[in-house]
Amino acid sequence: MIGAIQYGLGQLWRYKKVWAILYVVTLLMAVLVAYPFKSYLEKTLGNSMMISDMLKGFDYTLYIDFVNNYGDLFGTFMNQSFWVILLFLILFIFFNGGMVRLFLDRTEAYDSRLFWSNCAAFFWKFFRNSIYFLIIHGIIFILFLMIYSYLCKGFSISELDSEGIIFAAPKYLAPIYILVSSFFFMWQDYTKISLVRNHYKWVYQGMFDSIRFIRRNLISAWGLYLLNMLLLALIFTINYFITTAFEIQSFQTVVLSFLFAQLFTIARLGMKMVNLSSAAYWYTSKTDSDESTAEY
Amino acid sequence: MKVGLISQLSDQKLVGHLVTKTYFSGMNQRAVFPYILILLLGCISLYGQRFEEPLSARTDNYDIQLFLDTDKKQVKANQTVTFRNPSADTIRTMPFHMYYNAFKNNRSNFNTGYSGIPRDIPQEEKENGIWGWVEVLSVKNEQGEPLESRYIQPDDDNVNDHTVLEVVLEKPIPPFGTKTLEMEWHSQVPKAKARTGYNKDYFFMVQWYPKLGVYEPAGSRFAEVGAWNCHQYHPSTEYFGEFGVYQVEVDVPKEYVTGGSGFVLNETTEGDRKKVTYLAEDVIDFAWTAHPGFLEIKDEWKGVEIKLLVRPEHECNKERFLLSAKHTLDFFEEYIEPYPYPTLTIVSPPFYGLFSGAMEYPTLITSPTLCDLPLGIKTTETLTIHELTHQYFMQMIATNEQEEPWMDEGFTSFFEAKILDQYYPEGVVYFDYFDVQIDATEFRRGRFMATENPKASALSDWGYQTISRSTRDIVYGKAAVGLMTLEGLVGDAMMKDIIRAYFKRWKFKHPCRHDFLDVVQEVTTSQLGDSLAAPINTFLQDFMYSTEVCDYSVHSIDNFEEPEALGFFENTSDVRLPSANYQGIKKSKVVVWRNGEFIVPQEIRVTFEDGEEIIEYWDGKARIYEIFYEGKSNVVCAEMDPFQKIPFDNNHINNSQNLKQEKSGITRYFVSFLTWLENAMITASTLV
Ligand SMILES: [Zn+2]
Repeated sequence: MIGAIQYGLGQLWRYKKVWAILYVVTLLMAVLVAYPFKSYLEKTLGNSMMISDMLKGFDYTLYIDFVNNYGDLFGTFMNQSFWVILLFLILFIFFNGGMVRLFLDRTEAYDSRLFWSNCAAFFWKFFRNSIYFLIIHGIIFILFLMIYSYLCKGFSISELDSEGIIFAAPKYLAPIYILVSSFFFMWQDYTKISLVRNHYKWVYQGMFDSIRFIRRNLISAWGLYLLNMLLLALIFTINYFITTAFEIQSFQTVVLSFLFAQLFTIARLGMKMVNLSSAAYWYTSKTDSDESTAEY
Repeated sequence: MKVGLISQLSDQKLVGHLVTKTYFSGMNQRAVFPYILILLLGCISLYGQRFEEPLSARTDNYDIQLFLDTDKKQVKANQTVTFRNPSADTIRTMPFHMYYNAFKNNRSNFNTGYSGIPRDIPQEEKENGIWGWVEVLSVKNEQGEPLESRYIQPDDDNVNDHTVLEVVLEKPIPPFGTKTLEMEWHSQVPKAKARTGYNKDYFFMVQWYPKLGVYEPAGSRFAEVGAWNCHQYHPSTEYFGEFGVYQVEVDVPKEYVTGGSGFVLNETTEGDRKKVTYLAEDVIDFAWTAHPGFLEIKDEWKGVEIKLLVRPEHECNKERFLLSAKHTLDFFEEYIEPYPYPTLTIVSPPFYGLFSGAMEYPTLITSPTLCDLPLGIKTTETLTIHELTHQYFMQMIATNEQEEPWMDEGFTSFFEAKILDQYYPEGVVYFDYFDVQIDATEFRRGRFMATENPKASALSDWGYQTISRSTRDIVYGKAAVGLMTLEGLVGDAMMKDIIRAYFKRWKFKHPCRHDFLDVVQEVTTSQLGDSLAAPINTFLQDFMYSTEVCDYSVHSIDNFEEPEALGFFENTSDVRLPSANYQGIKKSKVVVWRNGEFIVPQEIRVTFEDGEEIIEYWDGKARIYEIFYEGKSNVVCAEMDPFQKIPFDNNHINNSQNLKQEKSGITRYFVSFLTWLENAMITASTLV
């Protein structure tokens, strides 16, 4: 498993151009909304001396007075953010096809034609795959919410003996949820890999193939996925310590915080690629060995 | 045995009455004085907690013996009410609040629109359990003769509202005379209604007994002629009560832990029941609670016994309750005068008892808590401080909450913020990681400024008649922000003088807004003189009666050179033309605007390029006000209200202008927003 992750890290470096594309797209799309937001702030409160309060972080009075007096456009920015996130999801579905193809073919270097053509070729299949799994993720989530609500007697103040369970239940339910839902996220990834590898016509064929694969290699495949999650958690922890380590008090510290935030973004995108490429590696190595066993 | 105990208590009760009546009636004082003294001393030596001198006029006095049936959730009670006519009027009726009848049907003023009988409750509960009521079985005069009573509706013509019962007296009460009524009543305790009732084994008994209205002699508050003030129970407002002495004997199952207003006079156990007798002197109401799950934690503050009734799962927060209570008592000891009562009971209800809310009753308050709330959220402290502050503004200064709710909630919110900021400078909401730190004063202001409709009602509007959802924010928030602004205008020291004078004059009485305005006028005029006091009183009038908003802004800063004099001056033959070496005089102009209708005097801090600062004073009346400077360096920034004395201004952002844009703050927000969006996109992409 460690080998698979090492391999994934190697692939990440080999296909750093894909990594760069992902980052640039993420940054540009965020800037698309954030820059007008900046202009809006400059126009409404650019000359106010209250800006010095903004440097300190969240200022409640500034927030209240801003929303009350200039807040009309605030909702528009939130709305735009929603649509940008949606657009990003569609783009990410698009990039998945190209990435999986590269990870499976293991070309010597980044092959632009191969990447883009497969992005396009698998878009609709991956799109359908995403919809199916969104439904599955939704069901799992609702199921856990229902269990939570059941444990808390429907959050009825008059029925509960104390509020303890409302706070205690998530401590047990959340890890179980993460574990269970990670299984389905993993299944989703292997379905993508199977669809590209086996040229299935229908998405469900990929879903069946990947669940067969997971059944045969449950411990290792799930273990690999959880290991990747652990790495991501490590990145989050490092980010937490960095962001709390220094106080933002000047323009220089603002720039520094921006740079750290971008490093964090880049690391998160990288981890997405490592996760997918290590899974692709695991899938091919396991299925190849299965096939070779079958031949004997 | 039972009879004996009651008669023993009645003896004490009679003593209480004799003292009370004699003190009030002023008749024959010399003759009975030695007896009173002996009896009074006897009481002191027995209990040690009675007041040596009454603090109030003790107009409405109660002796109640009640039996709580915890299975049927019913109360049976006998009560003796002794009323002293505080006026020269002849009084022919006595109205009683019957608060529980608000829950008697769904046509009462309180319950109108209530349609929900939950489907999944047992038939028995559908028929009985969800409705609450109180019924007087008999009323008798001193001679034991029955008196007639009927439901009346002083505020409207809703005959289905039975929240006021009028007892018709066969013999009127003469001027300054006394009347004693013996009443027998029973009630169905409502299930988890507004502030009162029961849920499971928790009983929170407030507004629970037939409570006599307040007789207002002509000239007091808004009364032009002497009359009873006894409104129906309206959902939007609280209560109004008369000062008196309550002796209440509570009969409950012995495993129940009880708490009540005043102090415990006596406690006896018999079989599986126990009787606890409370005595509360010089209070406007009596509240009590019973629940077997309470822990009783005792503490003390300068002779005042603090009793915390709390469930084991909330014991973790006991220090938060006790410390915040002591801070409040410390604060008022210094700011106004010490808390005079011998006890303070803090009830922290169980989770299923949250219906009792955070609420104030004489010497007893409720303050819910959750141990799982982060330390950075100071709800427990805020509620304890707020409700305890009501002991001064509601209990000792007994304003009419139904008519002028701002007079207790506004003052209380003002002091709540003050106390929190003094003792909890880290803020009432703080999260280090997110750089969030909100102090109590700005939190209070923000909640008012963010209200749906800040113009929905004026503070002078009758509380029980207001219908807007913003009323609460106005009554609490606008009033508090107005008082903060008043403090900003007069300064901390004079504000303290005003509050002290107001308290000294009106403690244990019923002031209205005019009485407060009079005190402000007197103190400000005596300390500042007529002309300086005038704008303060104009501000207060607007604050009370107007719904307008306050907004001032710095509109522009101009630095320019005065142009050369050109054209004809002394005659029409010698024209002055531009000279090559003209050196104009440097001038600067700062323009400020009044955008709202509200007028408040203003300070404006003008800062020059060379670092010089000038504070300008402006009466705030004109729509546009221009300030000119000549021969100074350039003005770089101008700021209205630089010392944040006017939180009433609804837009602090436009209060200042800085010619040198300092954009780091905006860049920070831009970076935060950008980073947030990037992370949101990447997180969402996990789904696909
Ligand atoms: Zn209050």
